[in-house]
Amino acid sequence: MLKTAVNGMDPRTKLVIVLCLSTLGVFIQDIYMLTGVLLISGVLSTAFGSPLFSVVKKMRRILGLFVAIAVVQSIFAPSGESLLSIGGFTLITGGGFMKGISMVLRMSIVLVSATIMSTSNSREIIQGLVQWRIPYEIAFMVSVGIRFLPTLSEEMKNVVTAIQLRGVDLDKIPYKQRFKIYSCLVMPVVSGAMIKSRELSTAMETRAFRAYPKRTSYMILSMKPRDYATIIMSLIAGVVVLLCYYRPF
Amino acid sequence: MTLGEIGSKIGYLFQNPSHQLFATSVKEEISFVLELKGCTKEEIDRKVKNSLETFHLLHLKESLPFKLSRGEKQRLAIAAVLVNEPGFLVLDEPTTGLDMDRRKVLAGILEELRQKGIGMAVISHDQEFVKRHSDRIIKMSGGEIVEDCR
Amino acid sequence: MSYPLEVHNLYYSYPDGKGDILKGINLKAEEGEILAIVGLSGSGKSTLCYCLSGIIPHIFGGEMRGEVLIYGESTGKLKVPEIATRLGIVFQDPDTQLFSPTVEDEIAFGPENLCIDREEIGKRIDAALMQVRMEEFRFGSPNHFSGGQKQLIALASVLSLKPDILIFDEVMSQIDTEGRRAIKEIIKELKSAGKTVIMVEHDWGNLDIADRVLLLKDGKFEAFSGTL
Repeated sequence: MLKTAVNGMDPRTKLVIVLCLSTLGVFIQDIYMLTGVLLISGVLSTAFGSPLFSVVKKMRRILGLFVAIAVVQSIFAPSGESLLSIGGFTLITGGGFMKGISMVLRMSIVLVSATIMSTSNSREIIQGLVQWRIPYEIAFMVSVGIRFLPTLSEEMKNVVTAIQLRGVDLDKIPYKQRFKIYSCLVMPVVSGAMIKSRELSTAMETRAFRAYPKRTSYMILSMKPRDYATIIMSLIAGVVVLLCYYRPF
Repeated sequence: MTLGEIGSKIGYLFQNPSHQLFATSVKEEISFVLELKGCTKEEIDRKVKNSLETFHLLHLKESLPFKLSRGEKQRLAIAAVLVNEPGFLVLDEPTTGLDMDRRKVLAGILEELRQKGIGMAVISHDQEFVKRHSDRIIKMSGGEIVEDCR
Repeated sequence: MSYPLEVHNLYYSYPDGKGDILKGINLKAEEGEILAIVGLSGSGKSTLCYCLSGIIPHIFGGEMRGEVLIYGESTGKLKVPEIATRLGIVFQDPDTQLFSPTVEDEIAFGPENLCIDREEIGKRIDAALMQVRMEEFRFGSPNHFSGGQKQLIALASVLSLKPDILIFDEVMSQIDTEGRRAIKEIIKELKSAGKTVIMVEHDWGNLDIADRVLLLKDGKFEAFSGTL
């Protein structure tokens, strides 16, 4: 039922929801509340139709980064009883550990709520921003960035594959040399990106991009009553949650 | 087998040669793998010189791979793959973007490799090139092999 | 007699200082003509396309001498948006010409830039899709199309600006046989509609639809006799 309610929702409504969730994620420190916000983000993301599970699978790769951030956070912000000490020096404390976890939860909320935006196509998002008076060029730049990010990551994969196909077994190479190999990625990806952007901008200019200070739009978005209702509800919910957090009764 | 192990036995050429060039000079592109394998400097110099001569790239040895023309990039990609001395090559649409003259040059290089005993699988929609230069043609359609003739 | 496209004594060198790539090009293309230009890679065919379409001198730098006239007006004096309604160019790589999530958005892009009203844009989208025979793909995402289909969408997105001159810069080089056949059909139809078509090719198999073939060699045109 939730799925039919949110189908075809205006991208600006989704943007408001994402901003509310991210704001809650930033301001709240309590782990249980953060987990609650994360769960709500996940439910909303799935309701909007985003392929959340495949996104979570892709996030496994940056899991290591998350763990590292959590550990660093807990080392540099110690509080509470010591959980792990080496040679009399306290490495991880109870309080610090909780702070690390809340950091991870916060980042997850931002990422998961961002997947809600991915359920609108880039043209709709640009149009939504433009109708909210953001300059077209800026909105367009953002959408082109989004459109070409997968291309960049594909290029990186291509280079790694090409290196391996020349008989180089990456797992068997010592770390020092592995660094040299990964620095080889920089050249082709950066030049590839520069060549692509030049070709893209040329193609756009030959189709009169920025011919005049304004442009018309074939696509028009109009907010429906349920969009307004959702925006108001999200803002109210966000404010209420923050109030409860800061002044619990 | 890992991809690295496969790569040391079979050479693969991407359809777009830019996808497999990453060094800062033509010379380095060819010597890259040899350096990683720990060959001596003399051996590396010798093999690189040999490669550059065989593929008519000697005059470009300090050039940036990205600034080469498509035909030159392709020759460089083949050279970089062959320096590994694989016994078999897979070439994905090698004639794309090559004009008539460059296609003849490519055909010549492939013929030389054949004489040396290196087997090749060429994936191509260039029917003329395929008819002229292959021993065996396998036709595919809809994901299945529909013809296999010598 | 006024020609749609004329080139008088065109010389051009890139900013890298390696000398002139184009060394005195002269050309007159007629209405309803398909003119093919062939030459070795690096002979300056793409550079010539850029000069014809106004990309040189407006977008790329370098030194251009001589003039290119579109319906009697010099490309140096016309602005790029003014050129866009007279001359359209389709490039070799479909992936850097298509950037919109749907075909409809892509085709609407050009007219939107020219502040054309929505109703007219709708009509132009319909017409362009009909010309390239891709009506059923209106709401599809170009990412999932074959190379040939992508090039047809790139062409449609140029046709929505209603140019009378079209330049095809090696558009069929990355396309399979079926895709090439479709594109050639449409080029022939454009000729019948009175458009002037200039196609740069390196694959001689695509020259069968051309009325005239010129060879670009050493920066100048020569008659094409079947070999380079």
